[in-house]
Amino acid sequence: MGSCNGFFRALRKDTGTPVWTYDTRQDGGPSEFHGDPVVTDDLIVIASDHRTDSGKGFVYAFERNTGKLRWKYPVGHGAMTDLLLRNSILYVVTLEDELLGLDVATGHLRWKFPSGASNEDFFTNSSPALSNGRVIFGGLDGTVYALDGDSGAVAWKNPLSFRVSTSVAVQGASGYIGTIAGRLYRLDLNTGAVTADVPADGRAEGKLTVCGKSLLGFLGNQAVFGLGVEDAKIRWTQLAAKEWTSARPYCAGDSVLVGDGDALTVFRVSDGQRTGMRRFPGTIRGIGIDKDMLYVGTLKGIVYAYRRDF
Amino acid sequence: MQTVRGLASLLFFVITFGNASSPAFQTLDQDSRVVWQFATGG
Repeated sequence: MGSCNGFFRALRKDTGTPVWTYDTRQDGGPSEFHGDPVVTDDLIVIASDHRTDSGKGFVYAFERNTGKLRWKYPVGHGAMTDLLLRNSILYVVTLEDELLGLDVATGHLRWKFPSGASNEDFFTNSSPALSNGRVIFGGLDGTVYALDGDSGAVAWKNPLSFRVSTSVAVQGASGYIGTIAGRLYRLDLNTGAVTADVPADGRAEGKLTVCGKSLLGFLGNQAVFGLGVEDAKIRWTQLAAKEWTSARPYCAGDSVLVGDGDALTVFRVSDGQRTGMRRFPGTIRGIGIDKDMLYVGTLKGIVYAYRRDF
Repeated sequence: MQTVRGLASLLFFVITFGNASSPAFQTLDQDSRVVWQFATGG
């Protein structure tokens, strides 16, 4: 669990008791954490970001049980994307819009692919996705790339003309991605060809989530949408009472969970019907989903372990 | 992989926080569905 004051912690799931803590101030922080970690049998790997002119970010590999730092790799101002792991290679996109392949055991660089886009404004980079041995990467230059996961060689690329504004989401042999032009694209991941071009009532932003036969995402900070992956049509949108504040829509079975200020709001994935709401004391940011529990983090810095009742 | 990956005995997920007081662990009694809460200190 990462917090904006620069700490990364492991807590016991059943009691909330801290097991270990890492303080990024020893690396010039405090740094922040925005992407999902990769968890292996013995490691937790996570990226930090520090979005100031002189800020430095790292990819950290901690020993899972003790928190001992196994390795850290400097990544410019850091990385805000989810990490991916395939075989022994870890993938991360830096704020400088470079896709890196790192050896997960040692942190050594295997290969690097820069999109060529500059990012002085610290736009959030597109989280990549894996498909059939390739890494699918949406660059800030507006081009979607498929790179060989082992070598980093470009298998195909498709310029979409506008800056990518979402993560890449994979469902079967299709990939979904949005641009600042207010369009969502479905691509054939074998060739890169666009197989659907979906106009949206707003700019899709942030991390897209595949949930069963639906693709979930935000349009700006006011609307959440559900798109049917079979016909690539937007089935429903729901407006926030205030604004969507969670890091993404979260999939939990046939429900989607979203933070709307202090309200944890639940929709049915298939049709967007609102099925529940719980208020928490603070603006909801992060949600962790386990079999019986929800873990809800708020901007007041409190994490709640909440017994699921939906 | 889901949002929470590879859960075993520990919880790992990523949240961003605003300001708060010093780190603390306590039980919240007001809502029986809240099992525990944790203050990150930031």
